[in-house]
Amino acid sequence: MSSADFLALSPLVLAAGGSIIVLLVSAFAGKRPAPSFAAALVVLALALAAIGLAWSEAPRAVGSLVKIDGFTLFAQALIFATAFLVALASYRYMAPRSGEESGGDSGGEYYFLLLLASLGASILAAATSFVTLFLGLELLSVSLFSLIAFRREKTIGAQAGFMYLILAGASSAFLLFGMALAFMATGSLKTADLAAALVSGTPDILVLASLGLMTVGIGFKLAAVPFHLWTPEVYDAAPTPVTAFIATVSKGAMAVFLVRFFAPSGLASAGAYPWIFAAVAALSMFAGNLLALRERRIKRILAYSSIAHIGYILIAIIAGPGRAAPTVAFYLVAYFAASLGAFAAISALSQGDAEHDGLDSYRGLASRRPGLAAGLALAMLSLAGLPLTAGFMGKFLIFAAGEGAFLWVLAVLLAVNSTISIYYYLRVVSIMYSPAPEAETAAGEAFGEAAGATSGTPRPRSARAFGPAAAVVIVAAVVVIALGIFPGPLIDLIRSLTSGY
Amino acid sequence: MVESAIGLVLAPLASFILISFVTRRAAILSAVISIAAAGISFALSLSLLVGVLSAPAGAGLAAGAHASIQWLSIPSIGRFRGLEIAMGVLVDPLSATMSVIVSLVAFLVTIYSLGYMKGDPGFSRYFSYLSLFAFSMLGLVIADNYFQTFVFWELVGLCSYLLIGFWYAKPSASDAARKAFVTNRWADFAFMVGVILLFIFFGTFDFGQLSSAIAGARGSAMLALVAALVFVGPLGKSAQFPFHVWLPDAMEGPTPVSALIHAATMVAAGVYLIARGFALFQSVPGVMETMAYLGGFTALFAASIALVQKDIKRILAYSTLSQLGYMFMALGVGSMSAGMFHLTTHAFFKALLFLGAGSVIHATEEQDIFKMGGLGKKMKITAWTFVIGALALSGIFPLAGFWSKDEILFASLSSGHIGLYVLGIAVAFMTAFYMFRLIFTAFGGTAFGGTASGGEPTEHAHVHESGPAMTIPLIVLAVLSVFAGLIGSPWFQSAFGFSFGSFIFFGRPEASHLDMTTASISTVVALSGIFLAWLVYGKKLLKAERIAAALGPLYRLLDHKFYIDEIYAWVFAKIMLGLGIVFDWIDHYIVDGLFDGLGGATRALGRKLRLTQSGRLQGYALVIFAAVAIAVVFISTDLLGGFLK
Repeated sequence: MSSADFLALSPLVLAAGGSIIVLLVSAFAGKRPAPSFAAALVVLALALAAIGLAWSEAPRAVGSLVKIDGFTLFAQALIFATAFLVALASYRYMAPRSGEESGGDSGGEYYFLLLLASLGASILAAATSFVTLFLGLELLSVSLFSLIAFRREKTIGAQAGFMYLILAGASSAFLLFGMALAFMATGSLKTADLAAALVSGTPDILVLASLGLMTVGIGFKLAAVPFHLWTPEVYDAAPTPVTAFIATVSKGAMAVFLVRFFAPSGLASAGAYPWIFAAVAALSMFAGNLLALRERRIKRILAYSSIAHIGYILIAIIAGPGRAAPTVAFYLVAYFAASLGAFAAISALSQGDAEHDGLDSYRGLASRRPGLAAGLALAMLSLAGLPLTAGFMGKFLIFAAGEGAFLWVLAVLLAVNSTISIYYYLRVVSIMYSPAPEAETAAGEAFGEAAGATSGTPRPRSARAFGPAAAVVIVAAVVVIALGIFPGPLIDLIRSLTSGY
Repeated sequence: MVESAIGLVLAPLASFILISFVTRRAAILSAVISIAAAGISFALSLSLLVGVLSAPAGAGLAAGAHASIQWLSIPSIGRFRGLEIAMGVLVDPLSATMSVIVSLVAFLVTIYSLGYMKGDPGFSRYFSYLSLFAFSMLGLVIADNYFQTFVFWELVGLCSYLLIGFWYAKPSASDAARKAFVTNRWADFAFMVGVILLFIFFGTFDFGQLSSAIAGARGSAMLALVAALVFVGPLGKSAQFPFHVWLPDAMEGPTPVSALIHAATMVAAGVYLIARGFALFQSVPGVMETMAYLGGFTALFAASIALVQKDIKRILAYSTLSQLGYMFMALGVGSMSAGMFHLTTHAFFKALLFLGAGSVIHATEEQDIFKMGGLGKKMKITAWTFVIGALALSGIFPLAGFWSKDEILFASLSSGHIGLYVLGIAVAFMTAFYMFRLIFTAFGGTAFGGTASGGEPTEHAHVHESGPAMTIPLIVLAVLSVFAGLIGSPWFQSAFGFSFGSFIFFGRPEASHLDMTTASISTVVALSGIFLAWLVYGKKLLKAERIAAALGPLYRLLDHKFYIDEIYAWVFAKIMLGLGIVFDWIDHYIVDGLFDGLGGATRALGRKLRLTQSGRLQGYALVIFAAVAIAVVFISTDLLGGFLK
């Protein structure tokens, strides 16, 4: 490996080495989570800074395993920045709660796992070979099992972690088998070779079958219909910042891989594959939005909403060379910002004793926590795609990219689905801004105090004060508004970075 | 220059934000901030004007400065044409002059309001709205493209709504605010469609680029359509017939607001926009003719209504309509400089008249002129400045109105519109008459309250002159009303080498001229109007009641403002409501049914789908296996016979 290769990979190297350091820090820090938290933030910040170093070498293919180019680096920067914000939102949320057995550990390994998952996602986003694809995917999945079930004392968390483990394992098996078939047919593990085999003439049955099998592994990570069934349980049971991570980084990395695999070869618009994409996109949009309509728990609403958003992103992926990459990249930024804002607000509210999940507990939030309510409302409006928010611009770009051929049908479906989705997003907003019935607030207050009293400790002071999670809400809100009003610079940046796609 | 232009817009915005969020509770501080912001804007706009003036004479557009930044840029993707929207600043003689007018009047009105609004519970809110208005109006003035213009156009409409309905607890005020808003919305809708079409046809919103693009599209039907649609916007904002109904009702707002927004600046925005987009309108002769005749008609129509009004503010409101009609007439006959010149002088003397009326209302708490009288003795400054304003409005030599009105009359004569020329002279007569009817009734005569009914004058013995915060703006405006017209006079031209017409122009500069025939006719007509008013209301040689009785039906027609409000009410009540009932039925049973059905079906589908979320791992895995099978079969269809191809 030359020094140039090393430079190109420096963000990944830093994240990998840094994760070990974080693990060591957490081992020596005793019961305090703060050192591991700080170390993780430093590592993520360094990895983010190293993107600049890698940029000087881009585009560069390191062996046949990964290719570092503008789009990859953009995705990696997005992943590390998101992980940074997720870590911030986690700090108070993951702090040991009153009345829970902390088991004598600091919880510092949480940040180690978070770093490892980000590393996996970054590798996935850079993969040009099935080896790195599988490596990244498994690194991500294995870290996520533990993260989802991180609250060992909670049964539902363990159940959800187990469900994710089994289903991810099963889908990885399909993925592996598909890779084996691809290797058998083409004699190569490069994704580009498979794509070439698929585009040229009449492909071998082995090639087609391999692609069909791999769809499972990809679809599972994206949580696209019909591989979406795990999302509500897992989103609901996982610690809220982890949910945020799954909804954003884990999905986004796979979407980036998909674009890099399909868009340049023109595969996404050849043969039967666009039909599969179109069907999955349409099903995901409808299933996600319809399922969310009657949901009363906010994390599940966001789970369903994330399914619908993957449907929107798939439309952009079929749009083909030149259009897919910039559209997806912008949409991911918009979607990441809004989702992070929403989940960070939920995390900020759920500090202390009770998880803030049922929609009813949001009644009258605007008068109790006006800042958080405004941030959450803004995130909802952006997810719904209302004008002057980043979400609107993202949807608008997909709509623009989606015109032409049979894609306009999907574009119309996107519009229909946006309309449906407004209903449940706005319901959250309207609940927050409706007055809380006196009795209920009093009851809630009484409940909170009673819970504090039984555990024998006072309510933690962090329950109300401004914390890092609230800062994440602010950052997300600024991004959502800035991109909604002034999207030009980012669009220009993305177009220059993705010029090869 | 660009920096000053941005600064003069941002100063009032800063004031608005500061007052709304910080000094809301400190009333006097809010007022001081608002006045300071208006003062800064005025100083900066003066520097702009000086900058533009110091450029070589006749340089026109080249004398100014233009800067813009890309606000929204969506690149073209495939067949989808990209969208480029800029936010910019355009400084040229036109915008520099207009920004001086706006910021000067705003500055004076803000100071005046300090006295007028004293003790009002909404004191801070009032000043924050005034600042917001100044921001919006100045933003409109320096905008360099139609998109930005439209944004600020809507903002001034919003401010107008907020300020008309300032005393929102009063039902008449909130009704008037709503009426103004709704009427303007009809016009703005056409305007918006016009602007969008403009972009679709020419691919840009920019005034400069458009004027060259339009030159190449002369005579096409779509250009006519666009011009006609865009023209509706100014009709609404400047309250020209048939959109005039909102302006008289807008007098429900505080009087300084009427002076600033509904006399001097916002209602003139329509005129300004036509001047700004003159290239567009000039390329469609039909629109220009419509503009001229609609303006002339509104001038005559509103002046005739003003003859019989009793409410001091309504007289002035109809007078404003009439004068705006004059400006439209001037623009329509092709003389942009005459229209803008009258806009300038009118801003000063009409603001003066409104502020004078405000001073009277403040002192007497009365708006009916026939319940006033003898105010001239008790309120000397108000009375004298009011008389100056009225003389300027009537077009008496050498006051401001004389020059600008003659410019308009001359423009219509020289462009061959004899009918409009005669009409303009008739309006000049009416204007002089109704203004001096007002003056002889309210300021002349004996004791206040005694003229018409012989009531109890003692009741209003407390009437006295307003404080300096109110009288100083009156004096400043009176001075401007006397001298502002000189900038368009031949003397100015010979002394400085340029004048208003050679400064603000479109296409070719116009030298100032004094057409002796027009000048003498209009002066004689105005003087005879004043004389007649003196006979009837001053000397009472002719009984007003007898004239009213003799003119019977005509008088009633005028008194009811040609029944336009009633006609609109009837149209809305009978036709619109009738249609409304039909649409309501359709909406209720067909559309609602459809959407309720759709909504119900959607929810039901959602409920059914939720059954798939059983939470059972085995079930989920089964779905995945099934999906794989389908996917593999589907992808391999090419080999299995290929039903897709």
